[in-house]
Amino acid sequence: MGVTTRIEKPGGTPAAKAPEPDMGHAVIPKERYISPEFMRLEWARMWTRVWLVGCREEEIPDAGDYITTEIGTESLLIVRGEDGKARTFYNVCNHRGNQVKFDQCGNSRTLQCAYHFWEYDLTGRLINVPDEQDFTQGCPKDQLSLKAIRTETWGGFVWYTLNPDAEALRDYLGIIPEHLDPYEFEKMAMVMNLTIDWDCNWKASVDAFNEYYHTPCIHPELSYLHDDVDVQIDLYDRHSRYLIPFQRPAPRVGELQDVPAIMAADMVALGMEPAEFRGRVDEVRRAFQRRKRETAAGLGYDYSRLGDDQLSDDYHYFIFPNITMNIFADRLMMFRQRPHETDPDRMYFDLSIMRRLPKDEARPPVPDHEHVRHGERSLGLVLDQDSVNLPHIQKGMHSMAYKGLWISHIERRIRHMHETLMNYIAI
Amino acid sequence: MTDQTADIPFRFVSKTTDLEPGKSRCYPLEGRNVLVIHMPHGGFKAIENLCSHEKKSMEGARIRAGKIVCPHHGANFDLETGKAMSAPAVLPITVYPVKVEGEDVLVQLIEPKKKPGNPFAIPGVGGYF
Repeated sequence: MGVTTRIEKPGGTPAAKAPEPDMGHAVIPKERYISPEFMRLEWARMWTRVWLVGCREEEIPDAGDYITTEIGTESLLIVRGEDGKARTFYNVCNHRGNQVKFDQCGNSRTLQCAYHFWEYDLTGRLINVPDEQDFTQGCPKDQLSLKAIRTETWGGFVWYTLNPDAEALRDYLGIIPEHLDPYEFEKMAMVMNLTIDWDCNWKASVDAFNEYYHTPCIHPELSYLHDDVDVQIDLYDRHSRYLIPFQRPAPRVGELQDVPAIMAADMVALGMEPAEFRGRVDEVRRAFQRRKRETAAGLGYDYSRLGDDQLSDDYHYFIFPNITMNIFADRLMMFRQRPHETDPDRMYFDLSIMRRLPKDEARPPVPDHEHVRHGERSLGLVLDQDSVNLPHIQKGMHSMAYKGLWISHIERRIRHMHETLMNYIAI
Repeated sequence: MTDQTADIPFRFVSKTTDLEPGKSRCYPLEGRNVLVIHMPHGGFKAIENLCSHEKKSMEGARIRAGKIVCPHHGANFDLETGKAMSAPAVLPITVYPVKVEGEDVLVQLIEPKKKPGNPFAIPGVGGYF
């Protein structure tokens, strides 16, 4: 089966291997996962200084549309203005501290607090204080308007940072726009938006998707769908990726006579006949890519900015600190990990799925946001398999016998994430 | 049990005397591999002999507290419902209804539980993912 020659599209997503940094082999202390003190450091020195995804732009398409989102102890309000700009505010009325909006999303012409009806316009400016003359000290608008948070957009997402001195979003994202603009996420449509309460530290969940050492152990069926041995890992400034060949079984399954059912399903969806495939099973991937290219125009898809490998493979990106993207030609499965407000043993896992729209398909309405506890509903086989260990990892880390993470070479994205995290913590 | 399963006849699979309490043995029956389990405290159970994790045989598995423990990677399954009770399995196994008549153990070969075709498919989302 050998090592893949990755085919790059000129002007598309670069596929070249990045140089490997020397990160050493030190044990990653478990305290980073269980200590309330470390959690406070993370909040003060990392979460409040990085760029974070707030929502999809499509969630607030029209003036007055808003969503609320939480990060740590803060609730934020993201609002589309009359000028078409998305703005983010701390979701708190400067009168008595009530949250301006309690609901997850909505639309309103102004932002009115539900307590004493202080009213702000869509730019956050305080515009009406009932019985204002009774405030004998006055109500200075510059002091009492909603506190704005820096907001920018990329990839169809609204990003914010609690750090007024942060670099521009594009500088923070580094290689990400160059690598991922070819997928045109901004043209995709969100088809699922789900939050699950997980009983583990947010980093245990990030780690679960930053290594594929576990794949043959807990996802044995995926050995017949992707080659989890010939995976290219690239570590960048803050972010990282791996490129996983799909539509090609892992070497451990040996020489197969027939196309396995799990691969055949994807071939059938493209009008291919797996039973009539002439060639070795490990040659399906190239045939699949060719077929995807040939059928694109008829199906209304434009893959002109994507290389052949991107038509079959998972380009799996991690954007520090908490975004994981499983990227295929037609879909983006995104994970966002958010810390619990106070408890290092708990977190919020946001799962959203975006779908590429064929040329003539109108953008569908965004799905309702669902919020469940772990186990209340299935997330599909693979994510159920991924999540089953997490609460036990968290409990295990509290053991006096356990010191920390003993990381292998193929798990080095975890170490890289910790290096980036500690660069923030150290300052 | 649905009407459909009520129509499926019970078939002879083994003698009660074939197995000591706490032991299990696999019997081929009508194209299926049926694992018959003599429960440690009496009574019989039967399952499809296929761990839902790696599709391996569980013949000879330990039986503890109403659960079968896969000898390969330790997945536990409830022998009443088939539900996966511990990692690395998350999908259920098929539990066949059992009757004991005299010394005969009879099983009803209901349709085995199938794995989802697309492991990434998420309930509630159309198509892939």
